Amino acid sequence: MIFLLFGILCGFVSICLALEQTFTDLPCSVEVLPTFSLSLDRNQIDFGLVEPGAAKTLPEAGHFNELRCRSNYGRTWHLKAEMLFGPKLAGGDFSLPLSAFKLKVVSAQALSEPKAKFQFAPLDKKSQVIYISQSEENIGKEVVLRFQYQFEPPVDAPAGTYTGQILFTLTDTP
Amino acid sequence: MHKIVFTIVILFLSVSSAGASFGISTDNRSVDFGQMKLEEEKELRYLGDYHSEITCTSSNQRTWYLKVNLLMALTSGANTITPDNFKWQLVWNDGRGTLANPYRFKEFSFNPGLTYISGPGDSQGNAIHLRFKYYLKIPEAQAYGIYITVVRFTLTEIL
Repeated sequence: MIFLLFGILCGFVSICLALEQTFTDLPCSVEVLPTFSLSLDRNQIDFGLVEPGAAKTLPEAGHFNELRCRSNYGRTWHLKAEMLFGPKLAGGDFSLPLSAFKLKVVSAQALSEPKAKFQFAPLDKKSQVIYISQSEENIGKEVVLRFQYQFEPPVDAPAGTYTGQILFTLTDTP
Repeated sequence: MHKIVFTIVILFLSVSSAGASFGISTDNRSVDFGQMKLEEEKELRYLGDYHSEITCTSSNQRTWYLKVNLLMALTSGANTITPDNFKWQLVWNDGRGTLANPYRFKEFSFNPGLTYISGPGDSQGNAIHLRFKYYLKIPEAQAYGIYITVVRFTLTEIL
């Protein structure tokens, strides 16, 4: 009987000395906004005077402009480029072959290799994929491509001013 | 002899139920950062210099500790914002204890992290108020969406 009561007593002592713990919770939230953007820091390319049959590169060293792509839609995106028109002689219908104008990616901050990296390639009238995103680039890591451009009119190109337009497109569709 | 033991048992019963208080409460303001862009940083201070006020009460006359942790990472579907981007700071209190991380932001973790150790007079049944602000940075690569989690404050006598 004594032992039983002693046990009960010890139980109460331990209850009295038990360390306590309790908690409270707060809900937490944030909305990360969607981003789907394409930007170019310079969009006017002027080769100046070019001799027929001679290639002129802009610039001779380094890059002419910088294209930045960013998406956090969680899907693969594609960067495409096309020659909308030209190189076309101003005031007429004459156009030089597409091979007269080329671009080259001289440097890239990207997880995979862009097309036309380190070698000049002509654009087409149909859009061509220049870059396909992967992994972290699908959720917001920015891709930066830096370009050089080259214009080489054929030896028999009529004199005059030639214009053209390039279109870069960022899209979800291949 | 039996009477003596019985009296002691009754005495302990009365001690254990003698109006002891040990509790924690909040102002129930959710930790809502609203809308944020990639790489944006935001300090959440709804009321000037703080966002949440936690009230701790203990009459146990023992040292108590206030700890904080995340129950999970900020989560949106399969995507998460890692806890190292989410921080807390204890900016003010009216107790006499010690700040575990004085006046600077500390990263959240999933394990309860110490914020405050009670001092003399903090365990005599009086309410101690502790004010917190929060910081969040959205990483450069983070899928869009609404991310949620739960911040837990624990009042404990176990270090």
